[in-house]
Amino acid sequence: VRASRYAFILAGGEGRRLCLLSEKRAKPAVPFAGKYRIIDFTLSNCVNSDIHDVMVLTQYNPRSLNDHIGAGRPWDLDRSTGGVRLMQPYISRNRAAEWYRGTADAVLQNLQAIRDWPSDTVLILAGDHIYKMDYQPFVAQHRRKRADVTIAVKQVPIGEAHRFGILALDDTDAVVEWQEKPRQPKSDLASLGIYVFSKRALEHWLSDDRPDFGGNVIPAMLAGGARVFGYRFDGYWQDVGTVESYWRAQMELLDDHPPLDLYDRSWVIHTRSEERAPARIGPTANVHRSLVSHGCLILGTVERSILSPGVRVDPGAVVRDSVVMFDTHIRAGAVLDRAIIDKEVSVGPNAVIGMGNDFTTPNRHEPTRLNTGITVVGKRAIIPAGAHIGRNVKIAEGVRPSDFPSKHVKSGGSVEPRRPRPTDQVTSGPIAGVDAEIVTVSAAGRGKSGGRRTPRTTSGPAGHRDR
Amino acid sequence: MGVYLFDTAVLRGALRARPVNLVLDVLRPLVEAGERVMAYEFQGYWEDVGTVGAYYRANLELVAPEPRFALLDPRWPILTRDEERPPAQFRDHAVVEESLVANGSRVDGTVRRSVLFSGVVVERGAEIVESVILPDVHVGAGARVERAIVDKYARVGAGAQLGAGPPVDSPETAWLEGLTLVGKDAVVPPGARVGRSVVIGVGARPTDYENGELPAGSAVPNRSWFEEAP
Repeated sequence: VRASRYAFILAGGEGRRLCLLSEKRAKPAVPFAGKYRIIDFTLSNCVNSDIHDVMVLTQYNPRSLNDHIGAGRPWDLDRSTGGVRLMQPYISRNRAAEWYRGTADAVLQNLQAIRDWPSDTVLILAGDHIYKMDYQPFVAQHRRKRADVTIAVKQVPIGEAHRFGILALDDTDAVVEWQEKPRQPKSDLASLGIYVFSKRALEHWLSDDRPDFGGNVIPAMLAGGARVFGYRFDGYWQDVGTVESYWRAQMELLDDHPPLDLYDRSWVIHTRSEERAPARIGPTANVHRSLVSHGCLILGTVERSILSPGVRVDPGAVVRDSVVMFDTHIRAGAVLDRAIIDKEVSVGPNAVIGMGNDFTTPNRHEPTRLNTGITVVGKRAIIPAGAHIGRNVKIAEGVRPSDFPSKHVKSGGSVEPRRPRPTDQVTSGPIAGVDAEIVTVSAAGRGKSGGRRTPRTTSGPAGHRDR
Repeated sequence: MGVYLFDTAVLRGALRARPVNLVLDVLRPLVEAGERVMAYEFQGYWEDVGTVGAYYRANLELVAPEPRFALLDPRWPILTRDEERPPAQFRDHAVVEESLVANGSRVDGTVRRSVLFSGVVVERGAEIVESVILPDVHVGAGARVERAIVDKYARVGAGAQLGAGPPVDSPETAWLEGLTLVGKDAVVPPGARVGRSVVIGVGARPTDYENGELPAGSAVPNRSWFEEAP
């Protein structure tokens, strides 16, 4: 039997912890490293591993992913046989109409496609991780061990083990214990949420009452005596599921020898990229320790930052420790410090984003997501000239200068639109996907539309002062 | 400009005589015959870039403060076949002014009034001034490249100096207009001294340099990759 050429990519994840960045786009479609989207890494791993039949399962805000992947041209996946297909949840006769209830349920609902694939193994991948992995040795070990399922694992610091599915392996790499997000982890080997399944095992173990691979299917297989193995991966792998880890993983790319080498011509990361001129660095520019994409026009200072295509930095503006996305314009004299600025934002002259030394007052509305000093600005926001914006601030998508009651937004505050825009959509219905947290989210409802339409500019606890 | 719009019937008629040259054998006879040959005066940017000097000047004009040709115009993108490359990386010692830097480049040296194509590596302390550097050229630490056009895959060794010194005044190298050319795949050995108006042939090797030196106005012939080293 020839090597597996088939993969599912679970791309339904909402990535709620990424705050504004994933509000209107699926987590796999969130920009990363200037010109890429997160899913580019998994898609490129597939084609670089000679896997050319890829089914991408989407659910949450699929439009951004549909636009990005299209017919798969940038990855050479626009093939006459196989190639990439995007699958959304669908309804059918004799079947309850419902959203995917978890990772395994998403695959179960598309099992018909697997039956048609002339291969005895199937890769199940997550579309929201940053890593480079050759899947063929992974599949080869699976065959060698005659496994029913093989789970990619990686050593993590034991202090972080409680965030993952933790496996204990015996000396044949068979999984002897599985703990889902354990308080007291018995090992430091974490599941990466990447599996090779034998087709027969997948058909046997997937069922309506086992909606999630990590939570239900793998434990059932272990209890039922299936051959469950681990595959040790020691390369670079990042989940980038939080604002802080998303920011940090990109700052690491600025090292002289970054853990993730984007410049490796033998493992190219492909993306859909607009044709633009080379970056133009003007006479007054200062650019250090940064990634600058094509189409940028730099006339100011850029330090330790990642700029997507088409970003403009006017004379006297300073961009420091920041991630700035497509076609954002930083006007003269403005300063960005530890900010993540989404695309097509306009930062007015002399505005300061990331002001003061208070890195620790968390955002009042998203205290668990914005609490490390990073300020996030949503798509197409217009920051008024001379605005002073603190840290851990959330500036919602599309806000205009009139939405700012004051030009001073203290650390931990937020700015939201005063009136709903016609483009605002309230999403509803249960959501499921690759994020384990989504299961709880769908149970609790999104509860998001309530407060965000009321006019407000808010700040951290009373008495707090930015220096 | 060499750009024409023909009435199809007129062109068909003219081509029956099997003309060789469009201007001499088609246009001039049409004018002489009193046909309706009209001019269209174009006011925009147009360059032929048919000589080394014109090619060089057209490139450098793109990094001038107010270039006549707007490459960044989103309404008129210039499309090309582009390899997928990551964003350009600027490291701690990068000093880049008035330059174009394409994706996939990594700069840790100084770049002034120059055009870097994709995948160019400029090591720490290297200096590129008023030059056009084509894709995947590697410029070693401390090297200096001045008034040069360096073709694809060429490697400039650490500490080498290109295009330094006074210009030469000889009719044989007048076509270079004082520029130094480095051919595709050529190697400039570490520490080499290469003067102005020098042509380093395609695939040149370190053994082509006497004492690591190429005086102003000199040339190294092209080498095929399968040729034995001289």
